[in-house]
Amino acid sequence: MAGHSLLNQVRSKTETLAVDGETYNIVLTYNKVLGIAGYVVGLKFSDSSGSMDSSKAKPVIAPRLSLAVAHRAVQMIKPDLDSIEILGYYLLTDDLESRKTGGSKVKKRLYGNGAARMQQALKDKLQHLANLEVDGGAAWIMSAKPYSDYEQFNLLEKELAKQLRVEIC
Amino acid sequence: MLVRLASGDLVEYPDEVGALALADPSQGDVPDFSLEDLNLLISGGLGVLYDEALSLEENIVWAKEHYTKWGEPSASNMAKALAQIKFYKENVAPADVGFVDLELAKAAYGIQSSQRKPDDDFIENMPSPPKKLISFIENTEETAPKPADSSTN
Repeated sequence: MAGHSLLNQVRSKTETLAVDGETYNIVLTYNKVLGIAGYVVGLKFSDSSGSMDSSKAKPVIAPRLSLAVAHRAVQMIKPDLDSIEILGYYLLTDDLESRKTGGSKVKKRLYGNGAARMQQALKDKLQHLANLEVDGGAAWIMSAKPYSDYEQFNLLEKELAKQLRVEIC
Repeated sequence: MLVRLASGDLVEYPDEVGALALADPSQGDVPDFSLEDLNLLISGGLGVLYDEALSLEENIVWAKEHYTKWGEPSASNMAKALAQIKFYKENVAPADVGFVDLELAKAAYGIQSSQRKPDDDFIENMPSPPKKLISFIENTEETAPKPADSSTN
């Protein structure tokens, strides 16, 4: 829904996090959406060091990075939790679908685990977790009401113009 | 089946729980995962779900609940997943369990690159995991993060 006329970004919050010698950005964008009382918050992770040189490849403990970013994201969200109605993040997998390695299968399975841990920590307010599957992507939505109860759900479906499947966790 | 936690500790999970992580019915049929995918999925998946405020037994129950919240996998998917767990156990040494390439971990956890190279290139061209990894544990700068706030559990 980014860029939609009903979606207004009012502020954002960015923190950096160091894990195993690498630094990462955790970005929260706070949006007002017509018809939704609380903020609709988007969450994005990126590496800030940009060391994508494969010669620097090094082994890491598999769950550590995901837990670290999820934990910091929760710390950033908690002070504002009362004013947040929906928290979501989106994963693009489009260009992975045709790969022989099954890369998107790995990503979707693991990405949802991080969402489950965050929702566990935020469930006092964001009681519902849903996984949205669209062609070429997947999103995890934590919300105060069941996600499909929001009228804006229909808007999202139209906006994406793709088949949308919602599974309520 | 061994699982490496974020702390670096190894714990034993039932093979069935690892198979559920692969056969999650919300994710469709079980593909033919590579050994590296399996190493990432098993410790990456179960290790992320692991809550230090709970006992191992409680974590096993919670992992089962997580992976079956949309229903049980089909018998054929579960059988395929169990075969892949067996393959994983036979081919990944305990010292290598749960260690994956950093760029693969970034890609798998949805951490976007600040440079232009797409993360799928790293999945496609991932080097084999190094064999001697123990020194990495000793040299790690950051201690394991605490799990997300568990006070609401």
